[in-house]
Amino acid sequence: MSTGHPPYRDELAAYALGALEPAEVEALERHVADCAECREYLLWLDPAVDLLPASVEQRQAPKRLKRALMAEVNADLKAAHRAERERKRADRGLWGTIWRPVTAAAAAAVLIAGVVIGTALDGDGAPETTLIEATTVEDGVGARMVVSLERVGDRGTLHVEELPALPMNRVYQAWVQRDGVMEPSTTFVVDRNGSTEVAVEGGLDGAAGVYITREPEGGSEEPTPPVLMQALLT
Amino acid sequence: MQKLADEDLMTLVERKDPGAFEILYDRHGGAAYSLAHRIVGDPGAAEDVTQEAFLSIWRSGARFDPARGSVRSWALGVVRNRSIDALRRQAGKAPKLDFDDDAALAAQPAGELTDSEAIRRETARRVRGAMRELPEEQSEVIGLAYFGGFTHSEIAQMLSMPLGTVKGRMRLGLEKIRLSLAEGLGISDSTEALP
Repeated sequence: MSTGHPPYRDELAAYALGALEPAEVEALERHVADCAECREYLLWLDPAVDLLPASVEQRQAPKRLKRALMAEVNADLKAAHRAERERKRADRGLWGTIWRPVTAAAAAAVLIAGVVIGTALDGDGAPETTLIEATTVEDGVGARMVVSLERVGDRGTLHVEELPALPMNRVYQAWVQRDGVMEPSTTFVVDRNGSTEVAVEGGLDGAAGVYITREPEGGSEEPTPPVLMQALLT
Repeated sequence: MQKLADEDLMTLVERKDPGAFEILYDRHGGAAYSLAHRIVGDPGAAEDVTQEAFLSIWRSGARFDPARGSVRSWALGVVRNRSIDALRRQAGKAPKLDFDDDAALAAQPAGELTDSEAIRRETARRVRGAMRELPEEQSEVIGLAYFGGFTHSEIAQMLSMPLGTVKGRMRLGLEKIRLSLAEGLGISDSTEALP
């Protein structure tokens, strides 16, 4: 095995245990992205961390937990089917035929120009499609990222490019700010090109903005600084 | 579907297959609940956290990346993060820090266990054995970090010791667990020994 890049071994062990401060995590992740020795050492340590949950007393989960969980799952499926039916109805409106021919390249070009676009409200009151370019919040944080929010009524889709790949146990997370509260939304990772498209869970009605942070796997209840990007809706 | 590997089930979960999700829960729900219980220290809170974590897996299953580890590790990582969040919301509540759960295990009649539970419990015994081999100061900092959710600077303050000492103990402890698990639990690695 690799012994890791010696000056970083203690940091890597603390990182594997999730014991570094957010600023330290960011600095170490920048180093690990360029250091094969450290990546190899982290991979070697992983099984030890992965087995820690097995060291606890093994209990039987109450049966009501599974019942409650599956009830939520089935409610989600019903809501999704309902939303899909509504979406299909809305797609039959004029706005859909206008939006579809817009290519991703053309949309990106408009975004780079920093323009907010409102398009196509059909005569039947179908939802308006709006593209909002996300901007950085702090100097130097997220400066190279390209993120836009496509809004259709209450529904939002994030289009992201050039986001750095994250190491294990870290994900990006979207947040919807509503009535001054940051509500946790979708977590996501990016492909090899740093790109992806994800629906913003929770809807956009009454939202003031959508934000992106880096979080531990599974997402968080509160955003972890720094905020990487923001798409303001007001 | 019962015979499918976890990774294949996750592909179905990403397509919103409730049957695949139910099997995944059946396989890992017990371990998830056990971990949550260990961290939050309360059966009701452990139920809430486990439900929250599995719902996040159901709703964002596409975020699982097989290149980053097994489904079980990923799911338990989600449970651990949610549990730590819950623990932090319970202001002032200290986590349970010992690894000695054998007495509680011994109290469970063996006849009530399914095969997979029996294997899981045997694995737990062996992992705890590896933990006990560690010097106390190393298992203490690992427990505070992993099960307590404390950062190394919080641990240093709590134990009145330099940051470097805390991180060094974490590394030594993890390396020892890694090496002993490789021997005792059949983790394959052709070049295990630290030079």
